[in-house]
Amino acid sequence: MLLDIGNELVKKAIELGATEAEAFLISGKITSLSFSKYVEDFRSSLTTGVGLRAVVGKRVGLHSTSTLDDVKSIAERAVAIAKSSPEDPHWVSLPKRLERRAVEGTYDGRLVKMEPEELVEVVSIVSNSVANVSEKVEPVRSLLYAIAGKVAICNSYGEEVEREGTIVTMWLTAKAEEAGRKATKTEHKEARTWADVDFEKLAMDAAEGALKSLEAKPIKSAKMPVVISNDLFASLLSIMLSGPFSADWVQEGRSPLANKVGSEIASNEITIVDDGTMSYGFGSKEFDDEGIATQRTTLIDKGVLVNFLYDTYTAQREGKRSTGNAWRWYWTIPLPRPSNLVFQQGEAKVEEVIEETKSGLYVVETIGHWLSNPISGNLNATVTHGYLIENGELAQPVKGVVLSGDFYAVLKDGIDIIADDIRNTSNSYAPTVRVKELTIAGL
Amino acid sequence: MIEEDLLLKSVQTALDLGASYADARFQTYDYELVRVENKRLKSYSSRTQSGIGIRVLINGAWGSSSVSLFSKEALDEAVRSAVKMAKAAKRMVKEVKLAEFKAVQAKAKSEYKLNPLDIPPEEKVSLALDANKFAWVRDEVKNADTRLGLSVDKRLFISSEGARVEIETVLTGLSHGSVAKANGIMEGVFHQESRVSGFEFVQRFDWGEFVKDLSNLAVEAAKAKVPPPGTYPVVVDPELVGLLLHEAFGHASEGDLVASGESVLVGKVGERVASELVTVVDEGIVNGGYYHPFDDEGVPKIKTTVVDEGVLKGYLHSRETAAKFGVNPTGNGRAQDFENSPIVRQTNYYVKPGDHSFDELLEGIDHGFYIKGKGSTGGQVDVGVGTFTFNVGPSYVIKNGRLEGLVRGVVISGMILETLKGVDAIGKDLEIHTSVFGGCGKNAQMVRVGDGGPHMRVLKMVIGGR
Repeated sequence: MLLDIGNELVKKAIELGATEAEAFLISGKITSLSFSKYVEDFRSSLTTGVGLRAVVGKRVGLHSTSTLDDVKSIAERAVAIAKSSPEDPHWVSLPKRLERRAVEGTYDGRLVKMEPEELVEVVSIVSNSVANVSEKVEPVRSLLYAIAGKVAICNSYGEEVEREGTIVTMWLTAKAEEAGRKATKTEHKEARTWADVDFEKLAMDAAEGALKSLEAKPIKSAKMPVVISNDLFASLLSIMLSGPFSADWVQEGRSPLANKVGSEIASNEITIVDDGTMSYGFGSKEFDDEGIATQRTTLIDKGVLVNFLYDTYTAQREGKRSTGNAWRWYWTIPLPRPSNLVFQQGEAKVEEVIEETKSGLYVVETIGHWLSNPISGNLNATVTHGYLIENGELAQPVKGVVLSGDFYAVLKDGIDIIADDIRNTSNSYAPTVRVKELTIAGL
Repeated sequence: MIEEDLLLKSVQTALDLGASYADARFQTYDYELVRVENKRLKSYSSRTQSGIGIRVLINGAWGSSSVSLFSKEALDEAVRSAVKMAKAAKRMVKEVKLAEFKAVQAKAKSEYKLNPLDIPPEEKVSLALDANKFAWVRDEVKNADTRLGLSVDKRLFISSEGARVEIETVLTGLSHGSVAKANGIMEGVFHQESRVSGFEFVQRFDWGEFVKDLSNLAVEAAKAKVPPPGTYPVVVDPELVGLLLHEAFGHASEGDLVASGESVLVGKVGERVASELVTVVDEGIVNGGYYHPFDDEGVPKIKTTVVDEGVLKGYLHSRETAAKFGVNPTGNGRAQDFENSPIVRQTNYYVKPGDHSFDELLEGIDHGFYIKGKGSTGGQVDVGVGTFTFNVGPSYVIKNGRLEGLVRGVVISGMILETLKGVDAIGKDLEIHTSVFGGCGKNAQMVRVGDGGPHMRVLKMVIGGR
């Protein structure tokens, strides 16, 4: 059904004078349940959208709508924008061949069939599990999402592909309160299938984390070794490297990694790949948002920068092949972005990483880390949940100190232990690591 | 209007299925983004998003749904789905009550002369291309990214209590980022100017100066040092006061976060929460801010004094949180779009000006910083822990009461209440800003806001450097 509309749009755009056209269509059902001790809101959205890219020679335009019924006006608008845009000297063509690759674990039939009662039941179990840890804790402002959606792409080269996928995410915050003191801890899980989420573990971890944080306080400014937890490191990687690895950033002069292919930008223990084909990967899919089959691309091989991520346009600018990394909202043009950014794990157990640290800080949750600057490499985050490490053991809980450093220096020779506990935050995967030294601004 | 008819029928269907209250929102949102990077048109995206969102209250439980289809059948299905969810939620709800208010019939439209959707695409492309040309003032500039943003947001709200509120808001603006490289250091500075206005605003504004300034600032910042970390006295510029106040205090004053017990402001009404110099207001219509005459529950936005001379007066409310506190709704129940439910949000949140000149604020600071919002990428707060963190733009060192060299990579952090209690002087200027490029995020919803204030001096602020 999506492809029928897509093909009609493409045909209309060509009739109106486009030399190439491509329709990108989505449809999906998003169910969200926000809760505390109680259900706060329970919502389901049937969402649809189409983005039509019309090309006239080397002029490109895009118009998109959330309604799929007015084919004529969508095509007219896209073609009109293309005609009134200047030529893009780098434009070659839309992809002429669309392909898919088999990827395991992107669709969960069970999730699609779930009834509202089942979702409420799970949330109620989570809420009880939090309360069972201690009467001092309860869930606040938590969110469960279940999403099932389709993506369809077709173009004027007569090519078409369609994929289906599911996502389940849970963000759970537990709040602890004791003697006028308050603390929270947030746990999260982003997965493709219902079975991949251990709801009770999330509940226990959040509740216990919140209780421990009641004792947290700032420490004095210092420079010290910092152990960064796996999910936090995953999110830092995504913030600092998603952009710089994109061929678009490189070609436009925004990436600090430009001109560095072949050179050592990280220590030789570090290998980072992008893998759109990973089984059950959060960002895995059969083809990218232009219809190019996904692949596994090594970005940093034992410390050496070997490649960037490309979509069709950026690949054509360099006479290369797309790496299958086109990503878009239905209302934007595609740009290269990681599918699953993976920092390969090491062999140390997390316990060993702590044990081997005489004195340092173990950081498990921060705010504001997304404000770090990938262009300058300035890494910044305010620690909301951390622990001092004293003689290889976790000691005083810490909050309210600012962590900072130069991310590229950290990659180059800052990380001295890599643990074996890889996990994801959204589509970024990383293990716990120890950084030899970071600056802590505190009291 | 066919949509209005559908809204009325949906609300009736909900009542027929047992709802004690129902509302329906129709929205059409047009957005255009023209992006020019390095003197070349990078993309021209145009978007029309439209649909209907339904909300029902049954036995004290909410159920909501939305569709982008405009047929009676699709809407009936959406209502049934919302009813089903409300019934499923029932076993785990604390009965929701809505604060009473007199249902309003009103139409409101922000002022504009030229509807941006009527301007030919060529003119928008030229405007962005022309602005981008001014970025190349120095060799160190490596990247220049200019965006022209235009939006027209039309919303119609109808409730089972007889409310009918129609709002049209037009917002236009331009953003620019320059990236410079000097001595191996890359630094980028991004900024934007937007107004609740038609295309006339972007036509008249001097983007050449705006863009040149940002390029120069990026080059200077790339050459600047990162300050040593520590705790210092600071003067905060209006832009950053706005950001800081919104994140660090505004969220804590949102009724839902107070009701859930998360906010540091729980139980503090009537208490001193800031220096007596500080008065904080949330106002729906204000110069430079976003246009917010009514919220997405049809409630008029009244001017809310949150802090009066340092004393907490009250919180921001939706109808649901107002009922919990036994107060009147303040018009702060806002939804990103028809696909989301209204939750408590700020509108235009700002600090009232005081009586100091800028020079007077610098006086008496031996060693500190003048921290600025331009080039800041924003901030975040943990309302439970009470900490905030901000990445600020290129800033200045203050030595012996005078501005000295530029510093880059400055991050500030602190505890909300301690910081506001540490305000010891307030400037007599006032600036409020909004943005067509971004907004405030909460519970996975983004809404447009305005924020600002005067210059302020704070005695102690943690500066994170390297």
